[in-house]
Amino acid sequence: MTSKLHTFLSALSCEQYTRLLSRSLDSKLSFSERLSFYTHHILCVVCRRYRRQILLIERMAQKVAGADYAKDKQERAGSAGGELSAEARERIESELSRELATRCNKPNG
Amino acid sequence: MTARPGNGPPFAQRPMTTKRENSKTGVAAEDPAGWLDDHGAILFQFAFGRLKNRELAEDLVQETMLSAVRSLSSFRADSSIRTWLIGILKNKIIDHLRQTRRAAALGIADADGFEETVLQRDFNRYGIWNRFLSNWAANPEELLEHDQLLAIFKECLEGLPEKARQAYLLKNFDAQESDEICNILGITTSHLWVLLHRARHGLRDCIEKRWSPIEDE
Ligand SMILES: [Zn+2]
Repeated sequence: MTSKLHTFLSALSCEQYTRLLSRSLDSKLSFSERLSFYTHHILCVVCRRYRRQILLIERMAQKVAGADYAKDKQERAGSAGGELSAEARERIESELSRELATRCNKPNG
Repeated sequence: MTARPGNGPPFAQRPMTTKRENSKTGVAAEDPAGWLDDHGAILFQFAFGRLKNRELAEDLVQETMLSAVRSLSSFRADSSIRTWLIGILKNKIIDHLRQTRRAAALGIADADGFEETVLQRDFNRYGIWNRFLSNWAANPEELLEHDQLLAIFKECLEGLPEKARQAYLLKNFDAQESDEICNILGITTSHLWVLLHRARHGLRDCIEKRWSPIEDE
């Protein structure tokens, strides 16, 4: 593609389009930004594809974030980072039981 | 409603390693003595995934459990104990990021070199695409069902420059407002936009490279 095409696409480059696209996911674009964004959108097939892919990736993030908590211990075993070390387990266990010993006899609330 | 700790024997008298049945749904869900067995691994992996530091992750798991015990009365049975614990852990992680933001601003190279490698490679000097993108997002509903694609997404997320990754996680996984993310990471709004753009652009690039069903037309 050439610089002539760039001029034709009303001053917004593809790179600027990708920046505006990302920003539009985080904040509201101004009227003139939306105008040049939309003009470029109509004229540029590559950026349209880019947008579709970015929006799909946003939905992937939602899906993965939503599934993050639901996972079972078994499914997670062996994933990055592994397990708590034996020392940490021991330490947390003793801290926890000490905390519980001071708490459990108090009235609730 | 929450079970009252007054019912039954005091927690401290129970062996910590006892596995109780119905730990997720049963009456003993709020019994902290079983938390380490039931949720310890998940909490650790969550913290490790966010902070990439074993000792720090272990410390935050400990702090989370202790805080949870202290505020057990605020637990509501309409969420699972695990979701509640992860919520507390998330706040601990955010507090940690907030405390270390100054050090992080100096220490974490924020995407140095990314501009040259990914962003500039994709565009020519006029800012026009250097290449044609293949058309792989035509059926989003279908693609979102591909476990393999979601696994690739996670791998690609791991590979992002650290600061961009933290910004993206706070935004898309923790649903934090932009102002709040800037506050946590100690950055300006325009810097946040740059980081999120890098994250999204980098994710797209990485997924395209790894997702084998994508073929050039
Ligand atoms: Zn374009």
